Amino acid sequence: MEIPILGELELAVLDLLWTRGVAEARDVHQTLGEPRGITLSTIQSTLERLHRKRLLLRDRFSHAYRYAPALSRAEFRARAMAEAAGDLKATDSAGVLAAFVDLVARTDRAKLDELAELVARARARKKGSP
Amino acid sequence: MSLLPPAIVLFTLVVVIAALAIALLERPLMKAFAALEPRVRVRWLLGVLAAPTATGGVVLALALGHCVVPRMIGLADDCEEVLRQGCTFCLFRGGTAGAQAWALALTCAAPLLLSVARLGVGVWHARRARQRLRAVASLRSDGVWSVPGTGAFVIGWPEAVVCVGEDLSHALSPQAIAAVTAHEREHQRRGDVLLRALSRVLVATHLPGVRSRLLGAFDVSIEEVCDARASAEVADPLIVAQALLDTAQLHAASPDGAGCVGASLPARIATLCAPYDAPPAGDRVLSATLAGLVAALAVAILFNHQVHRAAEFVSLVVLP
Repeated sequence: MEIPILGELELAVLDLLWTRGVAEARDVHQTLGEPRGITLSTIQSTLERLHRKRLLLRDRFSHAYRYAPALSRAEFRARAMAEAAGDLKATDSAGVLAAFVDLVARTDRAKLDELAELVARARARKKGSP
Repeated sequence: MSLLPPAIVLFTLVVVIAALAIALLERPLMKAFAALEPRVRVRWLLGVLAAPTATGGVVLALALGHCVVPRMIGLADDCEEVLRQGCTFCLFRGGTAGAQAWALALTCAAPLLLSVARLGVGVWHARRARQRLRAVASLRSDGVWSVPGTGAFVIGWPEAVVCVGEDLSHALSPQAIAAVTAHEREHQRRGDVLLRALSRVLVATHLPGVRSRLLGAFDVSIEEVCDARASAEVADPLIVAQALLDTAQLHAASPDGAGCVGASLPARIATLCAPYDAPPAGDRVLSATLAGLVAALAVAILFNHQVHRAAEFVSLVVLP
């Protein structure tokens, strides 16, 4: 399952549900909606949207739905990061990214050892100089 | 509708000649640039990257400026009036004059437009990556995004954000992380994402073998500018060199196989181990003077009819 792009409110709702485990729309509204001046129906439609995106599970409890996260926080982060990595590689080749160390270069341990030696020699030279 | 082959041939000819000249001069040019301070080198390399396109554009403007410009803006052709007599072989044949002029401009710009399209795809990916990272990032007090993984990068255009990997933050010393952050912040401040994107567009008119070497030198120079800033921040270039090495080793050990030793790493570490002396003075004045001279020359001869006649002659010879 691909992790969809999420808005600020959707992320905040997910974050709350990861902390609480299970919640109804009214609880989410009290915690997130009221301080932000957001109506209950906006919260309900956000929960509905997250459910349609398969990020929330729900079951009917009396007259209301109870929502729970479909993925754990760690699972969500791992999947989102894996998908971001794919986009980062495409971005790097187009030049719209500047990385501290190349993201797509190939590993060469022998070269790394050589460079480590170079740094060690420079450090020794620096220590030796007055 | 005719696409004005003589004009296109002329433009292509000039671009290829300029690209060939740069290919032949590449070695001495790179040798000369290596002696320059990285900040100055970035400017010169940008000039070399733009040279074929700029030369082709200038020659085209010189040869056809007084034909094309009025047509593009819908004015009447001044050919008879200005030259006293019409050209022996007009570069505009058949079709609507305005449409032909625009077709010429678009055809000549085709390779660059292709690169711009590729850049558009890159910007789209960057936007998606940024949105995905936002979902997993925690905002540090200094505005940096702390994201999972071992990377450190600046992403996005026009608004770039600095991202530093959580694993990197745990593995490196606070001083090394300060150097990494200062390096990325310098990229953000200088607008290097835009510069790198521009270089990928301009390089389209260079010969295939030369492209990667020019881009490689350009990328190394940009990185060295930011390494110098990071060195100043932590007051020791060797801390930056060690941070580079540690980051590369972390990448090498990461399970996704994202590797580490790109072409730029050995050059950057070597520079940090033997940093440059004070930058040469007055380079900014020299660059500004040269740019001003070129611009003045281009404007002064934009409507030069002798060059127009010569282009007409060349076209007759190339396309009898």
